[in-house]
Amino acid sequence: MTILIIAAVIGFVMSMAIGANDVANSMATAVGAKAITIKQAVIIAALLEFTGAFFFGKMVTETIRKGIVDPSLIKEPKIMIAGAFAALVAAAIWVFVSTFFALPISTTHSIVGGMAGFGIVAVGWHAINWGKMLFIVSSWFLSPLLGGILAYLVFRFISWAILHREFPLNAAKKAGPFLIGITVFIVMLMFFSKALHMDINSKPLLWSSLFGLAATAVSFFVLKRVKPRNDEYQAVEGIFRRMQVVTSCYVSLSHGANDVANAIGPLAAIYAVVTTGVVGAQAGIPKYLLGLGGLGIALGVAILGYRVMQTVGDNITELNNTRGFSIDFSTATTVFLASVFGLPVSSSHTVVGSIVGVGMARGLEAINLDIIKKIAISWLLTVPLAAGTAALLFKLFIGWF
Amino acid sequence: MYREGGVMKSAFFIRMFPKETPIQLLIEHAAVLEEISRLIKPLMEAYFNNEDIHERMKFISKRESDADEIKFQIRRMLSQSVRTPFAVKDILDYLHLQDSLIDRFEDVAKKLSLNKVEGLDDYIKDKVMELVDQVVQSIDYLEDMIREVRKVISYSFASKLLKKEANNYVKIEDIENRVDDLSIEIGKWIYSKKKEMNPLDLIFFRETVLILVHITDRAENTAELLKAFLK
Repeated sequence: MTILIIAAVIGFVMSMAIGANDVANSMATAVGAKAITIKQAVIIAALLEFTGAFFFGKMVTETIRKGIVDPSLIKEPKIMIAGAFAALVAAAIWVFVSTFFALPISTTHSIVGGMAGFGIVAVGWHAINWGKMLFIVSSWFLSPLLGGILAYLVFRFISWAILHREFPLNAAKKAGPFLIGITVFIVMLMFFSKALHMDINSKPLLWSSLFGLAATAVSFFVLKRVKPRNDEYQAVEGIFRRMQVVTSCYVSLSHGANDVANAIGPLAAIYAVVTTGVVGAQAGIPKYLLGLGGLGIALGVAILGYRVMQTVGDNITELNNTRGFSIDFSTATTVFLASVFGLPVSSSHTVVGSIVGVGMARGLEAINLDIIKKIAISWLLTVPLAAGTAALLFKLFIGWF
Repeated sequence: MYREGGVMKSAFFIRMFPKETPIQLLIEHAAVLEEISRLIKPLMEAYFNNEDIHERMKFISKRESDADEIKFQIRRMLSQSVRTPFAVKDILDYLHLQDSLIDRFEDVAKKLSLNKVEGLDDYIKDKVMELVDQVVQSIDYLEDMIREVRKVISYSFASKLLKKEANNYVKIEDIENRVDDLSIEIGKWIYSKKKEMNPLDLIFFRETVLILVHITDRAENTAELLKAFLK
């Protein structure tokens, strides 16, 4: 029981670090584009991160708990406890290293590496579910790529459907509700599927479509009232400023859903062993564990998010809302889709992919591609380093249990 | 947890979206060009009024050095993987042309500080002032063009804005034609004075006028390059 409490404390602190570290992923573009104030960003992010973690966080958490290391191959409960604890501590170490040195190291990669590291040392190479592992690793490459492609297409669509038109404001009043409708449709579909545990068949599809259509209709009437200004393009940006509030919420929600697993996955593994006394039991993840992770993320956002957002907001180029919208929409959709498949992906790396996508569509005045090299290096180093750390810690901890 | 210049992992946002961009710096560089171009008229008037132009020349040189600093900053940024919607080569070529315009204005100021031409009548002084006005006007349009580039990017290269840029280019072309006409008139005056004025003065005066004429030529080339890479 003591180990469960210690693991819960570490998991909670780690979820706080995730919240503080990653709040910029969901809100930086909105704050940079002056769509919302820093205070609003912090409040929205805290609430939506919690909601995402609590309602949608189960699938990815399950993947971390039992998708990487095959629990049926671990005979003794203490091995699983020591291993999951080692993975959690190793990931926490790497979160703090990346925080201190401002490195783009992914918490997701650290926790996956950590779980794999202990599995290899405790049982052997065969303990790893390599098929799943390959799927996860390929998702790390695919998620920035998908984010980038989606962002490129969304921004190209906005350019074609709105900015290149003779009367951009009128065009925005028509295309804007359509984009909002799609966003609401995806969020609702995820809600029915993940929060209400409904299979994606005609019923959730119908309801999601109805919500999407309702959002389209409401936004159509709201946008109809937008009055023309001297500069029509500014008026278009004004419309996207409002729409970006929706997509920022969407990013927070999807981030909470995906990243809560990084703090709660190993904790859930320990919980399952401690409460059932056996490894590989089919115990579900109690909601309160996801709530604990969600609360930690929200608290991290609330305590440290303001300063993070202030520094980010003060130091980046002012972004247009059309770009912010494209980046947010693409990131959130990619991360959300990954969550549906139970794939732990890095939201930071997905944001980077989306930013590059808009950049490729000639949408950004300047973009420093240097970070991509650093991310590539972190991809190559994070998993083996986290795995090595977890393996060492496992050897240390196994003697204590 | 916080370090100066970086905020946790989110520092990557700050690195990805540099506060200063090469386009913004190009605009700042063009603003210095415009400022210097506007200093040429009072400098020329002071020269024609036999006033000391040394301080004015020194100030122009100082601003030219400031422009060089901006130029180095742009080059540094581009060498550090900062990318814009344009090819690096296009930006560097444009920067080179824009910078050479500043250098030409400095050349005019320095040249005028070297020698006092005797025997310039009101007719030629008016013609030269007219030429200077045209030169300044061409730089104004060029500066407008580069300032609008931010808007062009913001609105995703919308044809409306590209047309506006093309219009500014046409205006510079028109100015260049007028400057050609003026240079012929000034040239004729110079050769008409070959028996009355000091030949060295005439050569000196002709060279100064030619620098001004070349500035407009180059402003047109610069605008043409800008128009080409905006497509």
